Amino acid sequence: MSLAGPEDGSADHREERLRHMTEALRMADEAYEAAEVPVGCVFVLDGEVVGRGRNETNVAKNGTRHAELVAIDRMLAGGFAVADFGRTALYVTVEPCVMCASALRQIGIGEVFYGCANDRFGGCESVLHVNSDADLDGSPYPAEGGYYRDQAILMLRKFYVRENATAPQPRKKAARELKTLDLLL
Amino acid sequence: MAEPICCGDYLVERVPVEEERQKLEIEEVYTAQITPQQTARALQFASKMLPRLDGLEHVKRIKRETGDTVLHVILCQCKALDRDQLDGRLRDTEWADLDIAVGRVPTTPPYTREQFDEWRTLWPVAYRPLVKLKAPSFSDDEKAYIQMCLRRVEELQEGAASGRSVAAAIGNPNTRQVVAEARDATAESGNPLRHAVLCCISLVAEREVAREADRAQKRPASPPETGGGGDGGYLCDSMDVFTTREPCVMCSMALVHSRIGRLFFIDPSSGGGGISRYSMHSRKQLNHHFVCFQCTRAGKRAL
Repeated sequence: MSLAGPEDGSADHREERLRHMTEALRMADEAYEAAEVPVGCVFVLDGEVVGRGRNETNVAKNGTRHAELVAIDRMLAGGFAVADFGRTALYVTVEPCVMCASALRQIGIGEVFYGCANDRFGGCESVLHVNSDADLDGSPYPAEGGYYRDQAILMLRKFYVRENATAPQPRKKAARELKTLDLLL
Repeated sequence: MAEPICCGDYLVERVPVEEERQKLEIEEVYTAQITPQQTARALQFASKMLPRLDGLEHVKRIKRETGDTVLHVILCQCKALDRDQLDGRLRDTEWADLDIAVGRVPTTPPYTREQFDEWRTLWPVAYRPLVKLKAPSFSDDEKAYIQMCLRRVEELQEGAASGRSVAAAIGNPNTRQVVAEARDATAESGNPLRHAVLCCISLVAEREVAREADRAQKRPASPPETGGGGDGGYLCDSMDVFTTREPCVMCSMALVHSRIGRLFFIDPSSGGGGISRYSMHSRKQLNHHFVCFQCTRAGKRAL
């Protein structure tokens, strides 16, 4: 069994997807270093990274500046054609939230690969299935988790043992410990 | 359902929350016929020897049919024991010869009068209306503020040059002022995600970032416009959002992330509305909820 991703497709495909997910993890690490919730993503077209983003909610004081929306806005501002999203894959370290899952439908993303599930906000399996709901506008897309899941979780845990001073009611977290024993790293 | 509230030109009606829209779900329980004299002993036996009822706090333990001389008592949930296991627990007790049946009870408590009237035809249940479902009431000043904001977004929408003409505004319920307003900018920006609601949220955020920069440079700070929640303007905490069209799923979740207090929208959305499709204002799994109102021009409704 692979510790890094699901056993689907050819080994070549998995290798390639994991390589792209490594780039997304690099973006998440950049978010972590900037004291943002560590979620990162890359958009890939024809094997090339064509867009990057990471969470910027704290610096922008805007709870909607998630990695996916940041990347999409920059890509479009930089001349990326909306029509090309259909041939583009998103690699994001955490399952897109309901907001981003809907945004991805509206721009017509080709497919989505993610690391870990997002139990609180997830829009591709955890809370809702926005990606595949037949009753919504936009184009449904396949979404699959499990690519470097444990690495994505570890990053989130590292972040949440720190104190988030910008939260409405910051909690004291001195007593918190970073738990890693359940992760296969 | 509560009566709509009249705010000048508009009728404002609270959109039901998830609990009010729930449908009757049923689960099975073992019931036994007993005489009224056996009640105390039967309940004592059940509490000592049978699995506790789990999640059925709203279900009354005993049912008495009108004119009946016997009672029906719930022994335990069918999911907790199979019939052989139940018979095993009753064997060699005074209840060995009980007349056991399978009864049907509502899985969740009734939250509205209508649900209560439906649920209790199945089995007696308790009804405790949720505090949050109490009919809202607005002061005269608040009604004038709501009307002003709704008019504002309608005027803004009418002024739109082309494209999806949707307009939105964010209001501060404490100062009763509009703090941000925007039209859908998808056509002019070429970005399909520049919906009016997202644009408004960005405006509030950008102003807050600028204010913080001013503070850092010790320039006289512009007066705080955001922060209806009174904690210094974190996101759109407790603010009101007014929009000419029901927000899509993306924008509805953006409002959850921004922790708004209330949403007032005019036209329902067809096909992708976050409120009508998913009750995004009241989903139990999410960490923030807001009150949502659908608003109709009073004249329109009468036509």
